[in-house]
Amino acid sequence: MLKIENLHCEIEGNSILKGINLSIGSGETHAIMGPNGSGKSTLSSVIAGDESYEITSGSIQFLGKDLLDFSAEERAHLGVFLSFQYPIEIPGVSVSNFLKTALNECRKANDLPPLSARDMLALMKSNLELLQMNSDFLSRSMNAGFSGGEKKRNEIFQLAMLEPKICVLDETDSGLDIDALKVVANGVNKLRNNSRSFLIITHYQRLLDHISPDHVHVLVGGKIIKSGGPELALELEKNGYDKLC
Amino acid sequence: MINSVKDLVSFFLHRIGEQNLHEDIGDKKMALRKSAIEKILEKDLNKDAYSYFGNDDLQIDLKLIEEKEGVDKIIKTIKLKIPHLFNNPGFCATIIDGEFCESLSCLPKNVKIIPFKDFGEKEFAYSLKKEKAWDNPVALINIALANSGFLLEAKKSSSQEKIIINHINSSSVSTVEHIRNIYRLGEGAKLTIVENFYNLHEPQTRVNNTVSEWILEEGAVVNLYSLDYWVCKAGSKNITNSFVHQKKNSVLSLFNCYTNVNSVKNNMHVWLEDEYANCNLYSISLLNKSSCVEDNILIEHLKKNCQSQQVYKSVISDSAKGCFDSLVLVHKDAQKTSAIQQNNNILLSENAVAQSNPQLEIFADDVVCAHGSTVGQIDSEALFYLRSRGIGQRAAYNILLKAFLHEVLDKINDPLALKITEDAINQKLKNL
Ligand SMILES: Nc1ncnc2c1ncn2[C@@H]1O[C@H](COP(=O)(O)OP(=O)(O)OP(=O)(O)O)[C@@H](O)[C@H]1O
Ligand SMILES: [Mg+2]
Repeated sequence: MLKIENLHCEIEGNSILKGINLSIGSGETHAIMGPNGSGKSTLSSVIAGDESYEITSGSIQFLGKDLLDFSAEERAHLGVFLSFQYPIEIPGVSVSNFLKTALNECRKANDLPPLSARDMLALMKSNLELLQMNSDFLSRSMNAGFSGGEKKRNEIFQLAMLEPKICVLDETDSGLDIDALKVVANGVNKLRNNSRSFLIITHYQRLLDHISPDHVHVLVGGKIIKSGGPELALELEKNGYDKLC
Repeated sequence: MINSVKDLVSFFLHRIGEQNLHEDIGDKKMALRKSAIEKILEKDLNKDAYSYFGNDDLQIDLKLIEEKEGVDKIIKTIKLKIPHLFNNPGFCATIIDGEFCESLSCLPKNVKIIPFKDFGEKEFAYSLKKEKAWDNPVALINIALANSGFLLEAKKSSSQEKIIINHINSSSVSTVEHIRNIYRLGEGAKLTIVENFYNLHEPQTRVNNTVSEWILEEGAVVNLYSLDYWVCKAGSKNITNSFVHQKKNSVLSLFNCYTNVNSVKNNMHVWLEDEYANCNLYSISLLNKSSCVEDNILIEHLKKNCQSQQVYKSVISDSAKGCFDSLVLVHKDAQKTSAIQQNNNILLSENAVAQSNPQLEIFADDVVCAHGSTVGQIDSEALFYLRSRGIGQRAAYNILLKAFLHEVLDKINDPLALKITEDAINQKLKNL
């Protein structure tokens, strides 16, 4: 589904990703771990189409298309989703209005008619339930004044609404309390299926306890230095990154 | 054409019917007009005065100014062209070319509107702080040439009354209007005013020179939503000098929203004259092409426990210009003053200009004052966030601009005012 080859990128002359190779098959869940500043968020932003990074070489293939040819919104239309490490606050724009706009833009790009108000509401309600969120959420301003955990939950709520094909989750677990982590992880698990892949960025095993990955990668200094199965995450948790380097 | 003070005098003479300026004039109002002209001449204020209007403005053929249709015909046209004005079940006042039109108005019991032509000598001469107006060249021209306006008087009411003031411009030619408005809010008066502006014909060039006086007696609570001006042709100008006097426990909240103006200059002088007076000024400007909105504000805190709040937000594109110049002056007796000055600007193009100059002068020691101004662009991270959700660049921009304006929109408590404002903003954002 997603194939990254020899990806290099830089920002303001600083080289950040230095040759990433990563291949994610349809329905697979991959985890990326790595020390602070190693380039995890950079990689996820580049996949989602953040133009502030300059791709100096390499490629990203997604469902047979060269993803780098598409703008951020076009990638969303193709089915790329990024759950942000730091979601943005948009005062005065309600969660429901925001999602209505986003979902209908995605539908329009895929030649689908806009959802009726009723269908939209029903879809929102069922996804709120999935994540055990109160319907008050819908009328609140997008992320404005949300707690850290609420913001992360709202990211996954958007994921559930937009039904993407590749979901990049950048530290979704940070900010979530123990119970919320379970709820969100269960929500994600229900969203997993054969045609939807996940790339989960995390520092901790606790998320992977709930969402078991098929593959685990270690990103250090802009390169994937080791890949393995779920056991690699446990090993990292025990020994840290030093032993690997 | 008026190009000089000489032209101004001849225009004045034309107005009063070719009387000689140096003859004694019996009518006291006319005498005041005369002294205003003399003052302009004597002080050689003309350079100043015309700098207010710009350099080569007022290039408007005087003959055209007097050509107006009869009121009856205008009313017919209004009913035909803007029928929805009369669908509103609430209270309303219709002002046609600055003149109050009683037959198209329905006022609450405690509110009275007196047309300019019926002003007493006192109203005519500025009831308070006369000296301020007489130092101000544009206000002087207004005294000399005022031809329309109204006095709105509200008495005590138990609940917040609301009236919609519909300003109608019936002229199909360019106009220069010198307008005098007085808002006299009596003790305990509570009033919300929503002002709308309509053109009966194709937009024309308009020069408005308005002087407004606000007098809020003890406990008066007033909201004014002034939602845009008439759609005008290039070269139009709106100059407003406002003088605001607030007594104990009075609350004034003024909202301005500009989405289709050419050139606006607001001079605002507020005196918080007694304890617990509260003045809130809110403004939204969406500017493009070569439009310009300039706010000059002076708020004087004279007594203790008063509050003032200014929140001015501008989105500026093309080679448009926003200018915020504000001084809060806290006098020695004004302990426990609370004052906020905030001006935020987003520039959408390289040639857009924002000038922001919030100032504080404090002579009391126990006060809380906050001032801040920002000039910036749309946040690229926020833009990426929206785009990553599938929202196109253009729509994402508009959503973020609305979010930027939200802080002011949030203060609009009147549903009608909010709807009009939001519609105007949405319309403008399409073209920005
Ligand atoms: N705009 C920028 N300008 C300069 N350097 C940047 C910029 N953005 C990111 N970097 C640098 O790129 C490196 C990688 O950052 P990135 O956010 O991808 O790390 P991360 O692996 O997600 O870290 P964390 O675990 O703390 O979230 C860091 O050294 C960071 O300082
Ligand atoms: Mg990160």
